[in-house]
Amino acid sequence: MSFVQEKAENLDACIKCSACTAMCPVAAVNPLFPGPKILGPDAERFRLEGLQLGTTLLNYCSKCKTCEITCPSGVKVTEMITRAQEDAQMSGAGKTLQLRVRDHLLGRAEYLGKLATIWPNLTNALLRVPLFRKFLEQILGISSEAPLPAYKQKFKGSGPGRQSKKQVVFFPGCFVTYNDALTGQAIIKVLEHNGFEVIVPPFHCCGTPLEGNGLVREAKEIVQKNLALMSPYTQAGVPVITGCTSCGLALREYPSPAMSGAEHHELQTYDLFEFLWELHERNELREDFKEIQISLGYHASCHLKAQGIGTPSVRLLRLIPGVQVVDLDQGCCGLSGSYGFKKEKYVTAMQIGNPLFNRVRRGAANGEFQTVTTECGGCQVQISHGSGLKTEHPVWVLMQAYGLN
Amino acid sequence: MWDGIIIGGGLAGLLAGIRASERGKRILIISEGVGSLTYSSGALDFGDVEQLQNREKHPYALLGEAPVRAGMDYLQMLFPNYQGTWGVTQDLLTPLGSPRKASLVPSGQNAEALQDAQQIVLMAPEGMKDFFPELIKTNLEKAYPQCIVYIHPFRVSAFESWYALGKSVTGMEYARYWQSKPGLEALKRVLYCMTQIFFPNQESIKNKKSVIIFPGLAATFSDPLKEVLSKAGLPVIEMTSFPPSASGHNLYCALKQKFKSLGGELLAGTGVQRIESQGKLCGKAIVRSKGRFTAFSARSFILATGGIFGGGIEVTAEAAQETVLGLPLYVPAEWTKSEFLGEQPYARMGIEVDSELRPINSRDKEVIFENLRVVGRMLAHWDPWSENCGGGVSLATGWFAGEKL
Amino acid sequence: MTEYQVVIVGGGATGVGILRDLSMRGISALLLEQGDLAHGTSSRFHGLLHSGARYAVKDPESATECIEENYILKRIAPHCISDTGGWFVQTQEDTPDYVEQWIEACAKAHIPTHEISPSAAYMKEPLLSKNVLRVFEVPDATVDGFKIVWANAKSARHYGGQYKTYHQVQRVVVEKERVVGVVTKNLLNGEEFMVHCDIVVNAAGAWASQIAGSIGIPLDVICDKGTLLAFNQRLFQRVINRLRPSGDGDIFVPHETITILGTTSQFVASAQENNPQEEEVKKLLSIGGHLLPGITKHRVIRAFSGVRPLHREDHDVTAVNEEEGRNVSRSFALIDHEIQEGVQGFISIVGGKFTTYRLMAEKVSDWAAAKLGNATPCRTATEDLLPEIPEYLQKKAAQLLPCAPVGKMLERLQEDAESVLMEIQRDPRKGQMLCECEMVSVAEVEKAAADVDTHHLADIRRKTRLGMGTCQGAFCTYRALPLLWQKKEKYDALQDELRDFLNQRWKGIRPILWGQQLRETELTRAIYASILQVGEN
Repeated sequence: MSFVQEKAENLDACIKCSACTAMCPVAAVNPLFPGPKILGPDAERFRLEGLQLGTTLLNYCSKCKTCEITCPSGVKVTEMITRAQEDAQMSGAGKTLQLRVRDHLLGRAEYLGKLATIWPNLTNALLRVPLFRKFLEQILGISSEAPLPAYKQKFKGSGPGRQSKKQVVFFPGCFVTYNDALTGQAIIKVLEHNGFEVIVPPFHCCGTPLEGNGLVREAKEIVQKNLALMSPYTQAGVPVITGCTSCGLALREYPSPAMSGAEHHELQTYDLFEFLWELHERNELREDFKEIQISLGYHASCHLKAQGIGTPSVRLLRLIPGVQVVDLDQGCCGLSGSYGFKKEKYVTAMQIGNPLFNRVRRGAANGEFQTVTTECGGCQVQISHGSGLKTEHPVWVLMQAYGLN
Repeated sequence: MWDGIIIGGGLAGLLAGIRASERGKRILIISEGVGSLTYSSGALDFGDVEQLQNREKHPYALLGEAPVRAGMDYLQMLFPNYQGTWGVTQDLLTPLGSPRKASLVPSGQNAEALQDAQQIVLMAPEGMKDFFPELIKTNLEKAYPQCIVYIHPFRVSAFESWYALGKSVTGMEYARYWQSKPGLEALKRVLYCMTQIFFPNQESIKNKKSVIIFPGLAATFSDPLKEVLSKAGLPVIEMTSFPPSASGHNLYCALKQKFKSLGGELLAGTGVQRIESQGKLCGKAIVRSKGRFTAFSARSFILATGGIFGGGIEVTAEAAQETVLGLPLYVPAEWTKSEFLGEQPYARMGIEVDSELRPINSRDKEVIFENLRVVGRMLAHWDPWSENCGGGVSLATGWFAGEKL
Repeated sequence: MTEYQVVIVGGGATGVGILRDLSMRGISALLLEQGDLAHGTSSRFHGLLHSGARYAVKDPESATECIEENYILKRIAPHCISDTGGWFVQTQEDTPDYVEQWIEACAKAHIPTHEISPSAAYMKEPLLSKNVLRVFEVPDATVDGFKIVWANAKSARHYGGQYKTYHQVQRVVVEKERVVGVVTKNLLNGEEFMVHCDIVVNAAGAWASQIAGSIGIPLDVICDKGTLLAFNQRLFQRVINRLRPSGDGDIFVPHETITILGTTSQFVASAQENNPQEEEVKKLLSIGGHLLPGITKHRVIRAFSGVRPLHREDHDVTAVNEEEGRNVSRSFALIDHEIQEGVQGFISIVGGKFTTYRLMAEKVSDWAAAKLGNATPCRTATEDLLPEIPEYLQKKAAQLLPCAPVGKMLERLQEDAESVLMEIQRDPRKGQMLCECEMVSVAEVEKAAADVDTHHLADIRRKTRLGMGTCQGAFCTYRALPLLWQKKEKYDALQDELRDFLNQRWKGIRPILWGQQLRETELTRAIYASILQVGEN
């Protein structure tokens, strides 16, 4: 079926029930935002006539995809809004110069990361200077209160080593690469512990920050670059694994290699815990777990929910003796990548995350759980910022259970 | 390997999941949307059970009385604030303020107090969407001619920016707010102000002839909220709401939470493409995750895909089909009748089953799949709207399937 | 006032066109319409402003009329017209001989055609069938019937003309073989009264034979039913015609947010037979599928039928027959009943198409003016139907409603636009959308509900597009209730208004009940039968 036909059928599916808007975390806290129904399928019927509606309001969408997950008809509301943003951008509507420059910057997570990790301590020190942050806010519209993540020593990959039977490719993503190399190393250790050789090609950013900031052409280019780096391995049937759920969603939406000219083969990309769970179902997972008496609060990131694979980390962690997992189920943390860093969106982002922060504080205070865990780097940063409680990638629990740290 | 996979997370599916999990089964629910509870009033209709039981092939007739009673009892056991007596219906209010009946009603919606009332204060939150106080007042006066109805408009500072923009505040947004910490405080103040105006001397409260009607409020699952309301000293009656409905949604959330707390997993936002089977046994659900298909195996399955609205039955210009397994459908010969709100034959389309709710072949009545049960709207020969039994059939069949899994 | 020079029976395009033309010439005229303006054929047609290319081969006279009127209407009523252009598309099933004939015939009728390559065509219309051989551009356009009718009516009022809706003409009154007036009944209160006049113009369309019949004059009006389908979205950006001898189901017309596919042709006994049938729907889909592959996968939101009033002679190749006093153009007929039946001051206008309404009105007005000794020339071909919407209002609207298609709202409201915008400014809540599918604000619906000639929810629908979108009234019907209730003297009991409206919408949904519209219907039933419990009471 052609893309145009698919688009048309998808628009037809909307039965105007407003469930998407009822669940939209942005609409709930920001009265300026008309909501996904109006900006999505409602406006789309008029866009087909060439009318561009609500161009200044489209950018308030945080792309969390809660609307798509909620919709009983499978309407791809976020996609509609993203396309509309693209069109508005091309016709020059919607953003001021200042915001365009800022979004160009924030979209380029990779370049920012490379720059910042030349001398990470200096960068972090600078980002802690209130005057500098005020300056960033004034000039670039980056909120002075936003929890910009600290930079660490850059994560280094490794090429293929000795020929091992079981290989996997690891896609680290920008957060691991520039802000949290230790987690990347932990993921590799866990995979090696299960007998896999982990290859890490010099991947670029997955493209999500670029798309989220309206740099769609650049996003498409970077996707092709990543596909090219992946292809020798994916052609040989080597799975690609990522620990970041936003990268995971992006990789799942990468065009099938057939479309980029290579031989047709299915792109095998996995979320780390999805992959480990499949090993478990085939009895190939090492389950020599040490007992850990711990209760964890688990936050399912929006982009994990959008992947449609359930919560594999919850399932897997519950296999570890002594581990209890409480599914927080409190919606979106609010950050949505770089959305919550922006001056005009910081407050909205914090309001969106408020129920989650409260839930975390309550659970920690009454002993329901001791720490919070979530796969998404952005969520980790936001939850720590909003609740004061340390938030980590679930792989660390597994590391402890394997006795690897 | 799961003990049971339930396809469809609406009322019937969730109830089945809860009952089965309670019995120690490992259950996975896969659901494309949030079911139809979010559009429902939150009250559950059983209809004229005796009459419907005598209707050939009606789900009540297939199951017999016991499971239908069990469904009603079970929900009350799960949520003691849902109240109902077998064979008795209760009064509640439509969004237009006209009286209606239902069998199982969240206590806050019970409108019995209006029978003896002489004075009604209709709370009118500023800017509430799809809420028409003047019209409601007229309908209340008609239905309860002995009452004087006062409309009490009020504002809340949390929504000032909505009011300033002229943006309506949905019933769900108000309901959500009242349950929050600041909302509870605000509610206390609102109720206090109201009592100062209408009941300045405490005596008039004590004579108990006055009733407060409060739209955009759903207290059933919130103890703190119920406490604040009880301090008002007068009965507070909730209204059912035009969709999306806070009461309906709260019931959905409560069911979801209960299910998860019993260890069940809910995979929301994606659908089952097909079920793989061998002979008369279903084996694997193939799920449309983003970008790929994921397979989940189970010993038993429940089809709760919601009929036409839920997407479980797809009707094209040429034919109708059951979307997950291609089960044979009963399709009525006559399709529609001219009176829209009357009987509509097409609504009785569905899957024919035996008394164990297993799908059967209409010719020889042979069971098609032995480890699959069909519940809720997917069943043939009933109509929730003309028979007023939507809640009853969903609860009865959901409970039964959960019990037998 | 019950004395006019002219009484016009019928408030469709022709009737209001005549009212305006006469009023502009200073002739006092009253129009009487039994329902709401345009509720007959003028609101149930294809929405096509013909270039005439469709008639070039079989009826060159009609073709020429069409292209001339096409240019005129585009000039005088641009706000009611969307100049989308159109294509004639030859598919593999269509004979090449006809194509050559057609090209020649268009040239003769001065209808510009321009060939483009199929590959260029696919770039512009990706949903078009790939089985296309040749594509020709023509100056087809789409026209909003309601807007034109209302614009004519409002303009006529401006010039002193008057109209009354829900007034049914019971009979024409003749004394000594000349018309002296009509007896009309106010359907809202049952009151019957006489209106005196010198001339009666029978522009009652499919009901014309009843009007003539009231004084025993036989008028051969054939009721020809045509069924059309409304698709949920704009599938094409321009009119798409099949390049073949005119037949059923061969035109797609984009209209605002929807696409209309039509049409069929079936003689019926009366104007009341306007229920779309499933066989007609299936036929349309099967033929339309040649131009739009996978047509059954595209959501249809309703089927509707209009009854075309054709004059019997339309079916023979015509000769101008002066002796019988019939000024017959291929497309419409003016019948002066003095010549044929000896009744003075009574004229019927039958047949025709929407595109040529202004020309028909001109011819009738010329005749009437001559009879009344009025020599004022006709100006309708040159004078703008509507004033331009001022820039400042457009800006204000965009600022107040950043997320709504304000241009459309302004075009619908015309001179009422300013007061509605001020109302929204005064109370921003009135800027919320009442009908979210077609984006019609609360303020606009309020205005329409309060209009003196609005008596039913369906009237509001025609004026604002409420309930005409995807959900076919599922949500906005409920939201309109308080507005009706505020003016309850004008409307039936709310329950009845609601039920009638829902049943009317249902009429058009029954024959297309599948796919997403079926799901929508289930939701609608749940809302009204269960949550609102309207069915019971």
